[in-house]
Amino acid sequence: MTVPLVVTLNGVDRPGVVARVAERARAHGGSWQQSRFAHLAGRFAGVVRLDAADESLVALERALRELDGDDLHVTVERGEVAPPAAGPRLTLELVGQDRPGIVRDVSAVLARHGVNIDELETEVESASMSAELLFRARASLVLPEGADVDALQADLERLANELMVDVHVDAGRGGAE
Amino acid sequence: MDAVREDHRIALEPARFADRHIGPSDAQIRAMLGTLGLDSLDALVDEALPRDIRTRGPLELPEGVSEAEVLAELRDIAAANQVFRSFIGLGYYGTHLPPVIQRNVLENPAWYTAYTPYQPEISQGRLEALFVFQTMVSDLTGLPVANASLLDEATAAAEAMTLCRRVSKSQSMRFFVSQDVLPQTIDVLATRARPLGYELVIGDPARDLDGLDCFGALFQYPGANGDVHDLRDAITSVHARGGLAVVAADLLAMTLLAPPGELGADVAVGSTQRFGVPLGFGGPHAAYIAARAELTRQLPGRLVGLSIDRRGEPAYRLAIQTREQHIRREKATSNICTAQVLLAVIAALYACYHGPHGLRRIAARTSRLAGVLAAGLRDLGFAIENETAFDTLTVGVAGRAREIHAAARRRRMNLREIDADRVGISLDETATRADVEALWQIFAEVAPGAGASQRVPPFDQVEATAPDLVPRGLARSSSYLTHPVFNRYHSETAMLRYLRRLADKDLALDRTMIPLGSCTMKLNAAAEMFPISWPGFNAIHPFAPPEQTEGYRRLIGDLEQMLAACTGYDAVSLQPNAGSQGEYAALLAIRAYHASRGEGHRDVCLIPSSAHGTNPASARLAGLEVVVVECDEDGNVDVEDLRAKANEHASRVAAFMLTYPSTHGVFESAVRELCDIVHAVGGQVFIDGANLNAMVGLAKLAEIGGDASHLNLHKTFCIPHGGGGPGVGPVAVKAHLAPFLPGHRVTGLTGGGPVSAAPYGSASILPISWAYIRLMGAEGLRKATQVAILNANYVARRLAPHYPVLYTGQNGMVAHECVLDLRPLKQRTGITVDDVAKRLVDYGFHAPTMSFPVAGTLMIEPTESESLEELDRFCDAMIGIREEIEAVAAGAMKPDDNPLVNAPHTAADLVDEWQRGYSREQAVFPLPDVRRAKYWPPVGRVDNAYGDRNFVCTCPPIEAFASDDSQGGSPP
Repeated sequence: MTVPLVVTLNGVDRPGVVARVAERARAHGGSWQQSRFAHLAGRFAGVVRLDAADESLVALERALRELDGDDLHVTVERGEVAPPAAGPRLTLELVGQDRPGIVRDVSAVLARHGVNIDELETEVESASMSAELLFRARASLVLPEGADVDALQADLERLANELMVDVHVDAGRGGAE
Repeated sequence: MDAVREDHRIALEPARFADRHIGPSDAQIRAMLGTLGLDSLDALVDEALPRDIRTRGPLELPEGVSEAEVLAELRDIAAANQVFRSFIGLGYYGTHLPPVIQRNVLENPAWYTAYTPYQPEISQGRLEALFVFQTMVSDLTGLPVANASLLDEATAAAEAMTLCRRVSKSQSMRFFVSQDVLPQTIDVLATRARPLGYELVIGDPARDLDGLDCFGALFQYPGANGDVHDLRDAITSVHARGGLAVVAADLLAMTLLAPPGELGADVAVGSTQRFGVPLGFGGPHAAYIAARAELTRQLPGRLVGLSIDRRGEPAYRLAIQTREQHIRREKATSNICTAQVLLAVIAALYACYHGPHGLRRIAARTSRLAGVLAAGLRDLGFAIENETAFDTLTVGVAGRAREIHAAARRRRMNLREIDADRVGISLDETATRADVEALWQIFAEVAPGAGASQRVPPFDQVEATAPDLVPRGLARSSSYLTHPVFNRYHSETAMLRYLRRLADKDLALDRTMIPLGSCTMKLNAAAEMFPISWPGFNAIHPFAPPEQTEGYRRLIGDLEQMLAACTGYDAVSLQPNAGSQGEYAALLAIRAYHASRGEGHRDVCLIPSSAHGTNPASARLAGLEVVVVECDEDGNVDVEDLRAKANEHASRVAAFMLTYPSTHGVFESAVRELCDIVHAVGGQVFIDGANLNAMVGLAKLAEIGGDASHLNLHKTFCIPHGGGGPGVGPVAVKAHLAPFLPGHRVTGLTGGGPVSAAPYGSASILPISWAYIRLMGAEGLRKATQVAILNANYVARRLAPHYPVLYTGQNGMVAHECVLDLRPLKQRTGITVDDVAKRLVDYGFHAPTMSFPVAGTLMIEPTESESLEELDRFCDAMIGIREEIEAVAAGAMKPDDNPLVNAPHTAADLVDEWQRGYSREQAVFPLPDVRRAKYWPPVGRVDNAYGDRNFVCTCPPIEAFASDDSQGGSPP
């Protein structure tokens, strides 16, 4: 039986962090399933999902925790093999003027519609030509049965004049990847 | 003796215009070359331009001529056009451009050389004028939201059609078009509908609309034949089935008629040409679009909004830019990238000058003359087919149309040719009582029964009993243009000073270089501009008979050949009236070519990730699926990724869209290989000509592998930017694509579907490019390109120690522009590109292009027109700013209190109590040179987020401007 491990990393931004984790994972039978990394404000942060067999689990956890130190913080937690979320899945892309509270406002609308956020990526960038600060988000969502996609889009767009929301329902995609 | 002969030789040498157009003197050129370690312009080209890109042949154009000579040639061409009085109508009407507006706006470089107002702090004048335009459109259409203009009425209608499809809940793919919509509009709709899979249903609203499923419908108000129908029932039946109603409305008529908004329309579109903008053989004119408030974010094009600056004072800006193609890319629903700012400004000021009463008087006089004309024609025994009318009549002539047109032309008058039995007559602001009598005379001559000329009725007698044709039930009762801006500037003195006040708020080429990358803000020489004011070019209707437009035909033929010579292509169409329309036309030609070979299934368009946002937007409108090709770290197209994607989609690849030199301002050396990869799978190569200014005379788009390109005459070929339009975006193609270039059914031009309302788009400004090429000649053009490359490399070399230059090509050289990377400085100090751009205002400069093609960068294109002094002045400013950033980094100035984050500094800032960590002197006179000619920005940093949160796009109640003085000098 394999068990999923969720590892978070937060460290000083310098080369070799991923390599160090990958080396330990490989040495202790951890199979690299999924990961996300980002350079944020001069730091390097990431989250990794490793799968490991029961018998190598403890050694793997220990090896990973040994990486925790002054310039890199590591946490390791056991996850569970979740059943795929039900309901239609959709991809949401959103662009608007950046302002304080925009993530809170967007997530509040999603919660009101009973939407599960599977993945969420956001960034703030300088818009071409005008250099206004733009907030961009790309989210992978799971809707409750019977949810109204149009109403969700309308509710999101109601948040602000300039918020452009593109929603498309992902056809034929099953559970979590 | 030899010295004397040499003097004589020099004395007889003709003056060269190229020396006026090209900024740096020969001595300055040598000095700049020295900085780069080079000894000649040819050596510079060897260094910068990959050898296999270079053209094999010379530029096949004659030698340049002087300004006096070019004006003489253009006068001959203008004289070959015959200026007839036009009664053709169909969306193009005679109008009187008020001389105070002609002299101080149309012919004033402060207005016509300005750029699109992306930098609001230095654009308040034209932003205010556009805001007035939006208010005018909103008032006259009865709809609350209007944009800052579109390209022409036909494309505005097409934009409205796609807007309807996006918004409508109807599942139908049908769009209903009333049969009395202008014929050129119907044709453009057909072009646009096809690739998107829409079906156009053209019919009589009274008969064919009932029970029809459609996502939208378009009505003309008044109709092309002159009728004024009550559209309320038709609009209700469209709404009943979930569709949206669009009304193409004549704004002058809306001073008398109930406007579209009051009839229930969702959207209104139309032309504002008859508000003072000359006929110009079809353009450029400003079209408009207005809509219900809920459709705001669906509106295409530019929207000016009101916001506040950092002091809380009202300030204008471009609003809700998140709608636009440069942000939405392949998700964009419109490829519109520009407006018709100069023409919209003229139309708005025309409305200000006449005011609501003046406009109503013009409309009432025009309409009254039409009523009298109709009554007199009835007296002469002709049937008037209209029961209602505003200014246009359809006259039944029972087989005598040909004779009537011949009689009219003998009097130098053009009527609308409908068919053998019907003649159309449209009156306008310029119509007089004498015109009506002359028209009666024409009809009397061919009226049944002899001696008809004696039967012309006396005007006053007819007038006394002639009924009004405007239907009473549709009379306008609501007020309009009540805001002070429309009621304050009715004397010429007041208007003159208002225009000066607006112009003084803005930075244009008459004050400073505008180093915008990818925009080519070069000189727009006065001699090039003269002809646009001549009646021989600007007083001609686009549907005038061909024998009256020989001059235009010659000019257009010449210009097509000149552009073909510059690019190596075989055929050129001058119809597209913006770059975006040119690239759209090119993609349509490519699709039609594939279809003609049984390969209509090719529907993939490969586009590099670095491409300008209009590329993917145009591809989508052409019905193509966008596949993005990655770029490498140097900004070049990733050859292997292109190969992989071309092979993956091999049988489906329709086109590859490439920009050359690249959007990163680099001569990519792999360009031929890229083109070969696409050709190998049967695709066509479209090369975006936005950066052509780096190539004219040195390399040709067709030779490096292009099958089609669009060119921006408003960049490389000197048509001024007009503050954000007009543009001209010809499409140039190799011979195999030539049959698929845009045609124009109404005027008998063969080819594919039209992309613009007029056969030659913005015809009246084509003399500008013609004159430029004629003035420069082959040698001058080539030298201009060399100096453009020299200037860019000089700036890159001077600034590189202070800001990293992000991309370079071979030998560390850039093409005609350079990208400065400010991201490391932002990481270190928090100072953004925005701060640098706004700080440049304090130094008296317009900012470079911001965050394109890469977020957090500045792109600088000096063009060949800027001298070494001006380049140095700019570089000194950039270096001065760099030192200020360093002071922030070193802690000498606070991150939240320094001249960068507080820029730009207004005069009002100075009279406040000064409690900043730097001096007033440093704030507004950062370099000694700045004192010499200080530009004072009228507003401080404009708050973007506030403007979108509190969206206002028409003149607000007066109390919003409580800080105004009461002298009438205030903004609306």
